[in-house]
Amino acid sequence: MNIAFCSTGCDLNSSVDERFGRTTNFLIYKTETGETTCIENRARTAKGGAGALAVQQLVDNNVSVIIAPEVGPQAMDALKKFNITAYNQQGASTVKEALDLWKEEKLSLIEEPGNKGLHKA
Amino acid sequence: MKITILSGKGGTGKTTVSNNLAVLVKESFLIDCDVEEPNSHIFMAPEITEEEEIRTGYPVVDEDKCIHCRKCADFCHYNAIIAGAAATMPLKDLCHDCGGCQLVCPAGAISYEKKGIGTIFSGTSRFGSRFLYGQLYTGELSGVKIINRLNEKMSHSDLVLVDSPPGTSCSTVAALEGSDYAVIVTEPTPFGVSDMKMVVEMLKEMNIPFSVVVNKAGLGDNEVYEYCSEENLTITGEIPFERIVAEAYASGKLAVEISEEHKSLYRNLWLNIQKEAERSHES
Amino acid sequence: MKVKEIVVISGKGGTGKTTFTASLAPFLKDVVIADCDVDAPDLHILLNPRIEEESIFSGSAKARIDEDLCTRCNLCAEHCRFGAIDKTPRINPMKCEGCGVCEYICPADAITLKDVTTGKVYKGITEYGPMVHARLVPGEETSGKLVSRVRNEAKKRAESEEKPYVLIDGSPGIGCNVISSITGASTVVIVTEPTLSGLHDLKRVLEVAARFSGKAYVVINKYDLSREMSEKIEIEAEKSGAPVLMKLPFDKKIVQAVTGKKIPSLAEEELFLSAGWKNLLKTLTAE
Repeated sequence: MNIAFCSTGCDLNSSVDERFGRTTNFLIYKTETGETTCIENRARTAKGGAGALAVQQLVDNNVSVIIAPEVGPQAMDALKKFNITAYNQQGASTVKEALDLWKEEKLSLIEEPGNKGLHKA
Repeated sequence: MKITILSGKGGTGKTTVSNNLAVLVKESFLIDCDVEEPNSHIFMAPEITEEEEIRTGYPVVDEDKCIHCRKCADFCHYNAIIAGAAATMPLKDLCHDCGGCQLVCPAGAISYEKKGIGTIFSGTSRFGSRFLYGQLYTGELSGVKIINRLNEKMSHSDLVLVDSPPGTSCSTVAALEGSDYAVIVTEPTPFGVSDMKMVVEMLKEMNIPFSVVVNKAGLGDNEVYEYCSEENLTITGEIPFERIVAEAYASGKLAVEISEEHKSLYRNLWLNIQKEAERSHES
Repeated sequence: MKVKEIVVISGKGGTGKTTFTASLAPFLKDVVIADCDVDAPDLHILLNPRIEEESIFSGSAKARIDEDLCTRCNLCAEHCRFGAIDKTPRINPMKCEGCGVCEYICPADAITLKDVTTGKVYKGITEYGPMVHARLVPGEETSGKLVSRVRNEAKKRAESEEKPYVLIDGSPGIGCNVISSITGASTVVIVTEPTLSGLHDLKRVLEVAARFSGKAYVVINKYDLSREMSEKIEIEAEKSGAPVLMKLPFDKKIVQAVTGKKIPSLAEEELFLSAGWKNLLKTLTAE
């Protein structure tokens, strides 16, 4: 299973990014092997619809779980449609910490869209 | 003839000028194109006789026909479609209604549906003149479609006064479409001068002749006059700052309702604008 | 450290948003200033930054026709839903939204989308802290993205220099620019005036603000021009959970300060103090 993190850098010690749609990178962790892949977020400089383009990249990389700060309403609908579960990264400052918290089942589900990420253009 | 009243920034007196003129100029037809923040109806207090909802299109995917080729998502420049093996999901709030996804879909799985983005109200003002305004729903992306529709609702034989959106955005460009003449309303402050420069640049590029009205005259400094003389811009009028006018405005009253003197101020302004507009079309 | 973003917006233009933002700047210690009013950037006039870096911003792409390859079949004009292509065919860049339909439909490969300059971003230093501002090219529409860029640059700077505040002069109106300038901010201050139009726009802008996290406050400028309307605004603001923090009277001295390119809260400090300036600062800087 692939888990994606909103990350400022490209390894597990990087800080988590405080944005979802316009995060610097998505760091993808493969639970089976413990391998990580770093994906530069194309949506960071998107004209509009960053949240949507971010979800598209998760879909393209077979991600099943996203650990994020907050997710906008449109991206939330999209995540549900593509069966991607979102967890709140709150309390973690690095990707490693967020991963550990997730493993310990200490992260809460994001079920309601946050107010962030509503801008369209 | 269509005359558009515009300004570099909000609050310089665009609505004041267009509304006062609309009351004085016989047979004029006032259109408020500032669909994000329409204010003219506050002063015109119109009796609305007709409402029209303005709509925009967005794509809908027929999942039975969709072959998940992702061509629509790859094409969309607004990232308004997410496509994966499991589903294809259009996001209607991001859609610009360009029709591209429908065009590229090889399976004929995409059709367009409509949703409302705002309303156009037509009616008669409390002064008996024709009046039209549009209002964008909160949270909507762009009012250009509403402005385009407002433009369609006037004919060239009308004497149209347009209260434009402020600034130089795409909405302003849409409001200027087909204008014979423009009037920039500015104020004698450093802000007024800085903001009007961009409007001047835009009007020159669009080849629309224009002149300048200095509102709140006497409240600021001379920079705006110096700039106009350097750039050879005609000032068709000055409206002095008066507390009594500001107070009347606060409660929805226009200057021309206060006294004969205020009426004649705007009458003179109109004569100057008319003269300049005619002159610019002769040359 | 978490940076606190204070965004000043107004709904209606001309209420004194920029004057108020400039007035706040000297009173927030360790602040990065951002002017997100990219259509009418005026804050720099009062804060006078020394520009250190200027960069070009390309926020959109527009179609261009290669005259030599064009066969005048007019398929592009027929398919353009924005009325941006006439029968010549020629593209009106002010109407082109860069959707790419013409590029796709052209059988002669004569049309390509090209990135265009839609604005400029300036980074500089003022007496009160670093400042980022931008200017949009007239007729451009991608200001939401430019607004985000200005905000992000300011936030990045605040983070790297460990400054606790980012002060943002937001965009007027209620459209995408405003949404871009207040999304995710911790504090929103709405500057309004006691007029029917001010009240009308305040209602609309409160609707937008209500959809965001963070705290919203209202400042009534020139409140004595209509005490009656000022009261109505207070009621409306309280109803929306956005308390009125300060009521500033109309005074020519404030206009004169601006005309003299001075910061009103410094030039006319007495006026501000008697209107509740201290209290406002305390509320805005409270954790």
